[in-house]
Amino acid sequence: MLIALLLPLALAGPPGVTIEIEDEDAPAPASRPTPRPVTPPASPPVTPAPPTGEVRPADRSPPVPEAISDPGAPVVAPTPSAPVSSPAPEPTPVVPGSDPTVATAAAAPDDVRRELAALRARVAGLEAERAAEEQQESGRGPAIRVGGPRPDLPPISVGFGPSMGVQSWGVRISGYIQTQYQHSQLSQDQIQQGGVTLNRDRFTIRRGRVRVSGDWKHFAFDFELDGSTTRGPFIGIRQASVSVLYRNPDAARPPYLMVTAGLTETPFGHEMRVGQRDMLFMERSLGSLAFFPGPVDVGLRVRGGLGAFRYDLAVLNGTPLDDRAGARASVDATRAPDYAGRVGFEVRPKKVAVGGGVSLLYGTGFHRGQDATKGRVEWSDLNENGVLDSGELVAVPGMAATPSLNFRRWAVGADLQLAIRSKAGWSQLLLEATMASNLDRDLVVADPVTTGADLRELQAYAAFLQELYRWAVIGARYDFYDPNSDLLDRRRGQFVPANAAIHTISPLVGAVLPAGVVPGFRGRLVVQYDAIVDALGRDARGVPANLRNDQITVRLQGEF
Amino acid sequence: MKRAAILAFAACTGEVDQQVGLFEPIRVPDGEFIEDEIPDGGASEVTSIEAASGILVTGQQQRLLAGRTSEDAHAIAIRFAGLGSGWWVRPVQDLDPVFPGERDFQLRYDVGTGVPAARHTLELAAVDGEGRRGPTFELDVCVQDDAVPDNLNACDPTIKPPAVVVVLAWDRDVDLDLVVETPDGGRIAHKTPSGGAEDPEDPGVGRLVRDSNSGCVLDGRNSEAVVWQDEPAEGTYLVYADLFDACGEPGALLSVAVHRRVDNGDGTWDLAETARTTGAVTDLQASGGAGPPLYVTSVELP
Repeated sequence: MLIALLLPLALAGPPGVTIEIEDEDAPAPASRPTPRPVTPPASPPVTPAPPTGEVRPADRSPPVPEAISDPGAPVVAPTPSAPVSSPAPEPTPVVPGSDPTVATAAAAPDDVRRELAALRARVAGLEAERAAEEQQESGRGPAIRVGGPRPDLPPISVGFGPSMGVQSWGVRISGYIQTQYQHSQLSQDQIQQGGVTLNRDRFTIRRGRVRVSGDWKHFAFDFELDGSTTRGPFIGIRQASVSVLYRNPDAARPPYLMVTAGLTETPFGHEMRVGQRDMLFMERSLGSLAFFPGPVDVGLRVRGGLGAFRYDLAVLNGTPLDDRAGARASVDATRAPDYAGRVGFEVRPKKVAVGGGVSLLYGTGFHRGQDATKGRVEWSDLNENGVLDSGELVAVPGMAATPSLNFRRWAVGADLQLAIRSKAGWSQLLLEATMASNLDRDLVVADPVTTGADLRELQAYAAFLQELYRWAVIGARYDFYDPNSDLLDRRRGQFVPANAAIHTISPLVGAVLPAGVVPGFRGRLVVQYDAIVDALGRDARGVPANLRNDQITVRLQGEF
Repeated sequence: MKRAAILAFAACTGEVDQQVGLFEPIRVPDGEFIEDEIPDGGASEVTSIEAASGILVTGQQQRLLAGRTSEDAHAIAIRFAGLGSGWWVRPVQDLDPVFPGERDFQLRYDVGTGVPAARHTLELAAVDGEGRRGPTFELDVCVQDDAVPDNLNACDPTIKPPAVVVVLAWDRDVDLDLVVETPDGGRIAHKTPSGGAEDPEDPGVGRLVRDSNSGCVLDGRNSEAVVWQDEPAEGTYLVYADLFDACGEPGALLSVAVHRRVDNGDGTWDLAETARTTGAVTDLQASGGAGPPLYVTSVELP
């Protein structure tokens, strides 16, 4: 009945319209397409349905899409190419404003059924044709879920960048700024030998990122610049990659296959793959920072997911790009690349998300040789009188260059994430541990060529984060790092085992401006205290003692 | 209760400060600075000290101090008596094979630039396993300031200091030269350190004692001096500062001080500052010695 009433209106409506079908189960087009004018060469014959309330078997038509049931919705303009299952009726001009009941009364029931069947077939054909045209013209795949908010990804779903959960094809610009104030107990109004400032109490722009990314059905790219004042004003590149993808029909799931070339994250563990925009703690754990001075490196990366299975493998230069502004230049000195990868799982039974994996890294380290030196004369003030006396000039002959040497380094890690969603928000428990050899590249730089023995390193952390009704977050992290598990210390002429472990306890609390409150903008203000327990100081006996080096950081982050 | 727990936790951690100790009159580069007083009452003691010389120069580096302690010592502590704010400590070493029951120690220290030129006492103490220091071992030393040559008069007032010393000092790492024009037209500068005198060894002839930061090779002194061991010829001496090379700096603040010998009448002497003039030079004045120097002051001598 409803169809009978609306079909005449639909067919007599203005040309240049299309049908939008929203189906939660079936894949939908990437976005509501722009109506495209289509001029029908001729209008089909229109015969409205009988006005009676009687329902005949032939009238039990399939459910009508809602868009068609809306009198104000666009209507389909038939075209000659529309496939029909029955012979096309003879064209009959439509008279705007004419009363359809008059024609209905005059039509025979068989004719009406026949014409109705023909029209339904025609409409179905037009819909199919229209959908095919849209897919072909715009390149949109039916595999992308759109038309609603971003898929509700659990916070542990990381590692696929902005390509995951994408809502529309095309190029997007995004960015964020992290401005912070930090106070450290290590701060002094002095400079170190070489000019390094010892003061750490200051305001800084920790990160100021602008990201241009693009997504298409089978391609994606990422380009991100960073401007900061961490070690002085600096602008550098932080992401630059091109990807080829075979996407999962569900955009909330990672692609089946994603091959990325360029500057991209090193796939090791969980923390390394979390975007620094989304990381609530100020920095990665100490061990992670020591192993990977920066999260990104240049190389080739293959990642994806199939069901609960996740894989992320990469061949990289092996010299991570330090993401701290003004860091020393890092150019890979070895021909051999580093191999890194993580295989894991991620499941989401209802309001719980669980993920985890194991990671491996195998690479080549570099012991830098020395340049040849020229001979020189050195004054050695043997009697310490500050005057040049006979016998105090010493010849220091030149030295031939020494060769550079390579060494092996490796790491094995395991990580586990548990997230539970409640009325208050997501609760996250993050666990990760890594055992490595000769991998420290920043804190206690490993060089077995110099020490004569491999250095064993151990790193682990446990973190908990709790969202509080969208507007706040609290959390804490315990971080452990031992840069040399075989360290010996010489005390009173004897070597004794020494503990080089550094323990960091980092509680945080923050206020959040969630997405949607201010269109296109969100932000947060987070305060984190780092209580550090180590053995970097010496007490009055000369015995290693805990150095007073706690710090507190207040960071304001704005995102667009 | 919570507060007490936090305080107890903080106390148990036994945290120590990282101290660079640049303000301290003595620095042990590979030692630890303990800002507080080390509790005494320990039984460990220093048994012997070996030092090359008792004369120290401000800013001097890597002075060696070696010796022995009793066997129960864990560390050696050192400081200037009456100066500074704490002790420097460094672990002791093996048992000495020659002196049974004693341990060796060896430390190298720097002398701070702020130490006044005078006689001082270095205090050393052995620290036992419980962090207590034993009896203090005292070592007398003389600290001299080579920016103002005084012939060690600061340590021994009976030594006669120079008759006149003109000192140019500046704050930035630039190659600044002191130039003094004598009444007879002589020019004491880095090219003519004795002003072209016929007898440079004459004690009445002024001598330039240093060309600081020459060619922008920094020496950390940033000062030059002209010294007259005996009273110079009478007349007006013109003092200039010549910026040879700014070494990349925008300029420098400078001062010229005149020191004169004073006879105390009791067989002792002093070297007293009698005049001081300050000024500034900018990098635009750097001429490589080709341009006219900056006039600073004049001195009537004797």
